[in-house]
Amino acid sequence: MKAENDLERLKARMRAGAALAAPEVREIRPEIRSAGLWHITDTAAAGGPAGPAGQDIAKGIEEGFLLGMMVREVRFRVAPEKADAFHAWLRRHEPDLRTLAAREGVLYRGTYGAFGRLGSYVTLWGYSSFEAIQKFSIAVARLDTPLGERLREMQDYVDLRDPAHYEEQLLLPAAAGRSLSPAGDPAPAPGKRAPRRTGRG
Amino acid sequence: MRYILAPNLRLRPVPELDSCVVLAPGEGGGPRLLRLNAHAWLLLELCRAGMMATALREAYREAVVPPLDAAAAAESLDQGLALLLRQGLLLEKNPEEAMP
Repeated sequence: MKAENDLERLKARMRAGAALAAPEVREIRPEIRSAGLWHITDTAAAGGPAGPAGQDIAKGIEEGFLLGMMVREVRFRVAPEKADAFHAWLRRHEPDLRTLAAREGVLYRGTYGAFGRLGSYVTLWGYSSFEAIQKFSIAVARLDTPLGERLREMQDYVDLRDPAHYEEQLLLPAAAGRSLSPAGDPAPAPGKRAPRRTGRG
Repeated sequence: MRYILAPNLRLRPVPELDSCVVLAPGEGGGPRLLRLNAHAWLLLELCRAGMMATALREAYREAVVPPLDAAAAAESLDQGLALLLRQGLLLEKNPEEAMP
């Protein structure tokens, strides 16, 4: 639809009563679904990392002290009887994971065992952009990509019988500021959605 | 004085829902995704036309009166422009500044 058409239709909508509602801008919060599905679309189009904070973060990643523009932390359990095989698989395939993920703009930041908690592991992924999340999700979902194949092999070691043993969270560099905690918004409780911000008033 | 759209905005009209989704660069580096109702969207479209403030005020008044009366329209325009400026979707530009 062309902008001129939009304008004429909007004027008609205004005359029909839409003008009675005050102008309103609402922020749409990306919604992260369970099972690793990401409900985020068409994002890199807005320019990707920009502004002083974004440049600082990009520099931090380049210098190696930040893990990513966004970090996905995946906590999972591997049954103790599979632990040795899992460790061997990691030794063999972590270089592959690093190389294959990098092609999608994702940094594989390693898999770590939680000291003192037998069977408990964390994998960290660093995303360079929202676009990287999409590309990575697409690559993972496809059965015929080397990355998808590797991740499915890795998942075979993960004990999914108890959902309490599987958890994901998205971490953002605190220096990113607003994208992490918009001014005036209280932090959402664990597992709760952040309150919507209307931008009014 | 006139108002122009901030750079790097992407507008995705959703006329079925009387709204427009806008992708805007965020302060923290990542993009922001915003949903504008029809009223805010109208303001954005009028500003996109690049009118001077007086012409914008007149075009807006023609669009919303009725159902609003003239006083309510003036107040609504000021509030709407302030909202869009606060959200970083519009920039104020003086007449002597070059066209973008």
